[in-house]
Amino acid sequence: MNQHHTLGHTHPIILLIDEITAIFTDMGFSVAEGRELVSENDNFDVLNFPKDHPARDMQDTFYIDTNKTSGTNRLLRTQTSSVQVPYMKEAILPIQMIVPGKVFRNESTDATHEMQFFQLEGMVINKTANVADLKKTLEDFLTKVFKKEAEIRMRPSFFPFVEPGYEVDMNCFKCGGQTDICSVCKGSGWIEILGAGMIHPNVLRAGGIDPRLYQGFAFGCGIDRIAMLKWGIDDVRLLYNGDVRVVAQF
Amino acid sequence: MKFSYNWLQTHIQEKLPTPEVISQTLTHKCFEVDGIEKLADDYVFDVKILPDRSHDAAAHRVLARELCYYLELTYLPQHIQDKAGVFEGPKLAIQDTQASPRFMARSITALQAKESPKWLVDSLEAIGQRSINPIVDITNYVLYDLGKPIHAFDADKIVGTITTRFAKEGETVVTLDGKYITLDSSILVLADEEGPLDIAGIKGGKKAEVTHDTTHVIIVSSNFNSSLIRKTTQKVGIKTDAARRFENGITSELCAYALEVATALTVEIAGTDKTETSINTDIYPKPEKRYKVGVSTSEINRVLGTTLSDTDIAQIFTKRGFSYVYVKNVRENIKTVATQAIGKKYKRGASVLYDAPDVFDCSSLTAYAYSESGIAIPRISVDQFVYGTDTADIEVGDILCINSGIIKSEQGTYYSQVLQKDIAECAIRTESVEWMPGTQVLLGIDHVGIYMGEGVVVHAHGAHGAVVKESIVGSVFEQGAIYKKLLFSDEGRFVVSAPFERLDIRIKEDLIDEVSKWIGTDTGTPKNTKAASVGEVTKKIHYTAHIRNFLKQEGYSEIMTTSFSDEGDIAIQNSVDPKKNHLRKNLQTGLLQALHKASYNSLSLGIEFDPTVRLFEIGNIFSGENTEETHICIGVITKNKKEKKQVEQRLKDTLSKLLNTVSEEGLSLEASQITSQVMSTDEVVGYSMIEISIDELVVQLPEKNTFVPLVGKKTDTIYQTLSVFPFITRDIAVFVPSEVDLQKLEDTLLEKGGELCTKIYQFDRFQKTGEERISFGYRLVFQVADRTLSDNEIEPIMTDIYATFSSLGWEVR
Repeated sequence: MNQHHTLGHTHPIILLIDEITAIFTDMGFSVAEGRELVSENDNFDVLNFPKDHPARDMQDTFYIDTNKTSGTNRLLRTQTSSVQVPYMKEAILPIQMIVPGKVFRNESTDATHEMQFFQLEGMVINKTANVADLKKTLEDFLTKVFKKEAEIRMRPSFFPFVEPGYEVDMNCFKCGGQTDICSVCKGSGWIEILGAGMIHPNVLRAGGIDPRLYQGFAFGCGIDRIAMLKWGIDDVRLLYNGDVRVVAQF
Repeated sequence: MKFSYNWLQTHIQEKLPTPEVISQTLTHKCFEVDGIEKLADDYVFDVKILPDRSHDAAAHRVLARELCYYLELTYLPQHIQDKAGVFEGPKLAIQDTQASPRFMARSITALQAKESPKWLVDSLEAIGQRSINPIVDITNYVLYDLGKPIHAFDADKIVGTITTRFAKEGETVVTLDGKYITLDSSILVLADEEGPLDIAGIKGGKKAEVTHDTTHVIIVSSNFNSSLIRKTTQKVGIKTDAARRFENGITSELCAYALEVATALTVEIAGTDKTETSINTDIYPKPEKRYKVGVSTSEINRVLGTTLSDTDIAQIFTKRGFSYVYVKNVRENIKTVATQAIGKKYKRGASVLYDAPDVFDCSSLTAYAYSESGIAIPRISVDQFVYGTDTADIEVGDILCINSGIIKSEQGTYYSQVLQKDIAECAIRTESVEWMPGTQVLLGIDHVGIYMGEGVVVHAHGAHGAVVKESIVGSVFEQGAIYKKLLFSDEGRFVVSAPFERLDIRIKEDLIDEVSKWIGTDTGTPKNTKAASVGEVTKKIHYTAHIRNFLKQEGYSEIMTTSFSDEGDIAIQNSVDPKKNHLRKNLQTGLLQALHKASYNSLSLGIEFDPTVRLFEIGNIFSGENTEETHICIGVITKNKKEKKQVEQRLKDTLSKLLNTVSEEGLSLEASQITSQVMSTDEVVGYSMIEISIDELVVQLPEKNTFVPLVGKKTDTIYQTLSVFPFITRDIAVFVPSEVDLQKLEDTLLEKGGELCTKIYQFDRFQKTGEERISFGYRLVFQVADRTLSDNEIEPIMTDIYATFSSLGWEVR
């Protein structure tokens, strides 16, 4: 029997990362990586999360250990934003980059929450990058990834590492806001899809960049969430338990 | 937090619009509304207040003010009929003003046990709070209305002075809900002369609890250090609404207002003809001052991509209720502020916020003069030096920096209000502390001054003990001073005095955020996002994509398993699941489980996995203390006897081919060159796996950074939900005449299989030489989402299929 007449299957998250990478490299973005096991410094301190501040509770963290000599904690990154400052320190300006990667949250799991999932981080730093550019970039990205003209709206929100910060909704690609019973947008016509904002000057400085000369924006979204929306995957836990029945559909 | 529609209405003059309009406004302009609940005669909004505004906006009064701002309604200030105090207030003391910056209290006598009025009970119940007694209800009302926690004690149960102090080791307190808490010296309490009354800012105590019998109360309104409260809540494991507010930081300025409102309500609700109130006792050694933040219109436009004018910005700030001055000539303003400071006292470490404009040190003078002109510069001399750019052409308002070498170093540390942390005392600094930590200033800087023009400098100088104006010639700056420009532009600036309550308005970006909230994000003009050149990927991403494509073409499917394990070299401190309290140290363990599962499931998936299931995973593993590496594990499993003997060889061949594929260009890698490889085979079970480090592999390959797209992408996936219940399969073999359309055969199977049949696939096709008929083998897979199927449900379907085939003249084997 011919063993090789069929192609293997691709994991849907890998398929999405491939599409995202194609979209962003085409827009001139570089693709970076980062570690999953990071210091509390990279994951929180340099991202302007004050020590002993409730903002750290926004993300439930898996802590590993504390270095006896330096006193720094190690943890599993809760956000791909942990790549921002290490990347700034190494990179040559201007910066246009994305990082797709695995992140971890210490929370109970259900159909829409898993202790591990994938995020996409994006960052643009130059002399002029502004909120209007951010909006355009996100519109272009979402239009390409959902293969349908995306309209977005940005609502005020808060993430310590950006100011101003926004929650980004896109118009419902399924019903276009036309129906009250849409399973995707619940009739609101809008889907919460991204967090974004202008990079906080404290973060730029932590990366050795003078905020008077450079400015930029950053955005982040859950790749799993895009997968759930795009294909209607109803249980994210199935993505990480090695179930070939999910993968075989891609 | 929950907000009541009726409660919000009490603060607004006009009739509020519909709950839907309120919800939309809040969500689009400031705070996301998670839901609206309809009560009998009220609506309750569940509003997400994020950490940047948790210190003030978790309060009806504040949310009402936000609504007034965004909906252009009229805010009704609270009308307080305060009864003047007629006797001496409670005796209070503060042990540590860092931990407890303000402590106020007032006592009220001759109260009478009554029920809380209906409006108060309804208000609290709407947001999920139970009515307890009038005094407690009033303190809760003040908490949810003003966002300021206050507390009431039964004055008759208190002995002597009330002090905020750190507990003594081993002291205990019984909380209002009856828990015994053993205290230690890191925990702040309010205590009378007998002992602790409560855990400061977190939870009230039994000792001086207000009950229905209480006739004389002391209401306290204090403020506590936010990170101290946070550490204590974590230590004692008590989370309360009050603690949450203190953790986020509260302005001390609210203390008096909260006490006034609480007193007025107490007198009104629980008072009698004989009720009297005391004078306020107020310990507030360091009154807060309003923080000044400046921004220019062009800075706002630069960030938002807009073309707003000075007039637009002025209008927005005015509507927002921000008081501001517009500084047209920044240099002249710096000069004016410096001039006004001449003669003021010198004190090393003077605070810009609290001591200015009466006391300065050299860099607090420069920082203050700039801050008053709308420019935030670093607080410390060396940082001001690093912040500035060298200039030979010094102008009014620029600064002079020098290593005077005459300031003596001091021991210890001081707490920086600006940096919110302890800073080591140091006279001459050679490294940036705050602005660009790590930047070296070899020459060292210990003194700065402001240039006033015509060879004159104003500086706060320890040797003079004051702020002085003198000629550079003959001053400490005469030899070796370096001139620095701290201004990037001379344009006019809005200098906003942040309202006391807005602890989140500290830098110009916070003001830009306010403008963005007002105008939205639809007004900016984006630049073209077309790229000049295509972006690159990392070397590892490049080669990993090649590996994926190769394996896919070889029939391998990619899966992902959990990064957690019950064993490994790296343990997780706070995992709740004992099966997932370590990080995985290999991929094999997970992949083997997946292979077994896939082998079982392959029966339901179709021929592509039969007889050999081929899988791989790429992911990070963690070994030793510090190693995080990207590995790939490739595995096969089979039930076929002949195949079982070949599984290991098959994998070895795959690895060789894989290495060949990635190491094109004359560089040929042998499997033996990959030292990380681990093979694991069981011919009896029929599996084999090989795991290697991708990091090790990639190191040996030439640098390449192009993006490699996936091959053979499926674009038409319509995802099918998986059932958690087991499937049943039935095989059927049938002879059909060669002219019969296969589609008809499959359609018949699908039709007769009905809803229970999720998949059919052909596993055999056989035609004897010389025979007209063809034998087809089909497998039918049955499964439903809500139950385990029984044979009894399947048999009639199969019988029907057999009958249908017979009636068509097809012979079932």
